[in-house]
Parts: sequence; C-alpha cells; structure tokens
Amino acid sequence: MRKILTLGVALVLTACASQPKRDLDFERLQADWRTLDSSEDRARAPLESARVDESIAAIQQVPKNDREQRKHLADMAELRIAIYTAAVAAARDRERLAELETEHNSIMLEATRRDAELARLEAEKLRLQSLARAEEAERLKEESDLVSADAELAREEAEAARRLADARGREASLARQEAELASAQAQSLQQQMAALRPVATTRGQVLTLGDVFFSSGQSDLKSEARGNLKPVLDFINRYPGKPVAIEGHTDDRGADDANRALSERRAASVRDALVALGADAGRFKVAGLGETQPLADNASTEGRARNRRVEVVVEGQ
Amino acid sequence: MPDATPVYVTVIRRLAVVSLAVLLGACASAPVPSLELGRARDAVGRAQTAGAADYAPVDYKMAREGLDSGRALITAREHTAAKQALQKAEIRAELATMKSNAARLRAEVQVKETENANLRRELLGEGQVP
Repeated sequence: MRKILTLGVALVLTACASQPKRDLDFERLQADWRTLDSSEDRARAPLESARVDESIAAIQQVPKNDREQRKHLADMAELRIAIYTAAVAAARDRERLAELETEHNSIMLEATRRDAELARLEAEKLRLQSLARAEEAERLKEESDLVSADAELAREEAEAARRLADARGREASLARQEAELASAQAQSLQQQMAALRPVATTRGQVLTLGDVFFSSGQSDLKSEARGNLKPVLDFINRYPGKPVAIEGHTDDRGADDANRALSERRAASVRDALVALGADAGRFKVAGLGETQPLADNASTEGRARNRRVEVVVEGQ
Repeated sequence: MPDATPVYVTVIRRLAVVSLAVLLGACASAPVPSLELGRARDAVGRAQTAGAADYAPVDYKMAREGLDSGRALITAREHTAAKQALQKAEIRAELATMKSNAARLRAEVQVKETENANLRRELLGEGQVP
C-alpha cells in the first residue's frame, strides 16, 4: 500500500517536473541520428546529412510548449533521416558499381591477355610443328640417302655373301665329290687288296697292285694304300729268302722315257713302303718297264687302267 | 489653400493606418502557403519521373496524398495545416525519389555482379563446376 502510494507520488512528481522540459520524440530522433551518423556515410551523403542536422536544429528552435510544431518538425526530421539512409545506400551502390566496372575491365583485360597468350602458344606450336616437319623432312631425306647408301652396301654385302656362299657351296660340293671319290677309291682299294691273289707264272709267284695305289702322274703311294700293304708283306714273307722283283708298268699315254721313269719310281715307292713295314731291303730288285708290257688294250680306259700297275714277283719256284 | 494640417496629425494618421493593417494581418489566418504548394508539386513530379510509383510506391502514394490534402486544406483556408502537409508531402516525395534512385542503383549492381560472374566463367573459366 505504501509502495503504491510512493510510486503514485513519484509519477505525479515526474510528470509535473519533466512534462514541459522533455520531448521524448525528439530524444528518440536524436538517438537514431547518432546511431546512423558516421563520418564515412556523411562523406557519402553530405547534402542529406546537412539537411538532417538542419531539421534537428530547427526543432530545437521551437519552444517545447509548441508541441504541435515540434511534432511536425520531428516528423520532417525523421523523413530527412530516411532520405539520408537511402542516399547513403545509393552512394554505396554507386561505389560498388565503380568497383564492378573496374573488375569488368580487368576481366576483359585478363581475357584479352589469355587470348593473346593462347594465340602466342598456338603460333609457337605451329612454328615448332613446322620446324619439326622441316626437320623430319630433312631427316627423311638424309635417311633415304643413308638408306640408299645402306642398300648399296647391303647389296654389295649380299653379293659378297652370295659369292662366298657360292664359293662355299662349290667348295662343299667339291669336298663332297672328293669325299665320294676318296670313299669310292678306298672302297675299290680295299676290294682290290682283298682281291689280291698271287698268280703262279713261269717267273714265280706274281702279285699285281692296280693303278688305284697311285694318284695320276704321282709316284708316291696313296696314304690309304700305304696302310694296306700288309697283305703284300705277308705274301713275300711266305717265301723267305727268295729274291723279289718289283716292276712298274704304265699305259701308253705320255713319253716312253717319262713312263719308264714314273713306273720305276712307283716300283721304288712300293719297295720303300715294304721296307718301312719291316721287309728285308736286300731281297728287292726294282725295275721301271714303262709301257712295254701291256696286259690289255691301251685304246680303252679300262684297258689303260689295267696296264697301269706294279707287279711284285717272288722269283723261283 | 489655407489647409494647414499640423505635421503631428499626419504622423498620427499614418501610424494609425499601419497599426490597423498589422492588427488586421494578425487577426486573419496564416497566408496561403503557395511556396510550399509549388515545392511539393515539383517534388512529386520529380518522384514520378524517377519511377517512384514502381520503386517506392508507398512513399510516392503518401506524397501525392499529402499534396492533395494540402490543396484541400488551402481550399478550406486551413493555411497552417496546409503548409505543414505540403512540407511533409515535399519531403516524402524527395524520399520516394531517393529510394527510387537507390533501388535502381541496387538493380544495376546486381546486373553487373551477375555479368562479371558470367564473364569470369565464360572468359576465364573460373567458378565452373567440374
């Protein structure tokens, strides 16, 4: 109860004291203005802010008891503040537009720069490509020169190789032929050795060594013949102490003297071979009879072959 | 003419006329606020030109209404109220104009921002969704 009373008194006192002195609308207005007012925004809207200041000052010119006029001027000041706010917003957007314009220009500049860069790169690429093509062409030309040189070389090499191969082929075929011949001769030699049969004649036992023992025109025994003289040694050893005549014969080709000399050397070769195998050298008597005692007709190859021979004769009965 | 009116009489007469005029003026209501009417009318015209009917329709409408009521009050010889109404109408129209300008600038900013973003994307390949 007391509190209510106190409050009531206070209210009455306050109302009486401040009513003529205070203008709440005006105070609120001033507070609003203080909140909005800033040096930056003032610079953005100098005219409008000055108008607000004027309108607020105008209120202060009016006595506080002329409440109607003050109210009117407060409304006006409020509108002035709204205009100021809009003017500041417009000024900010004007600044923003300038920024955006600058940004726009820098974008276009950058785009142009990039285009130029792209064009430059493209030009550089084309230049390199054409350079590469030129180099490639040059290289191809050199290569084709080289290739033709190489081809020439290769052709020569191939030719050489072919010639070599031909030569080797010929060699091989010769070797083969030789081998075949040798093998055939060895065979015939063996056959002949195996077929060696002493023949009893008036002069004694006669063993005939065919022409296969010697190469044509040569007086030395063939190496394979030399190894096959064992049966001849056995033959003469069957008649120990008896003298042995070794007589060489030829066909009628060539000079008589040459044939006699050749037949004698062949006979000597046979004697030397037998001595080398262990026969008594004192038993042998060597003679070269040449073409003087043919066994067959010298007109045929076969006949001439039969005539070329060395006869081993164990003399006596 | 021996009409010799003394100087003091003339002075008194003139004083009386002036005093009467002052008294009459004070007694009559405030003068017609033709200055305020013209200013308010011009301000509303500027607001219309600024496109306030579209950009700040509320303020524009209030300004026009203020102008109309000012005219009505003049007709009603309520010159003081008319003056206040016209003053308010003028400032309201000014606000509408300023708001319209601000709104136009805002729209311009938005267009420009979009334009720049598009340019960045198209010319510089920025901000593209991969």
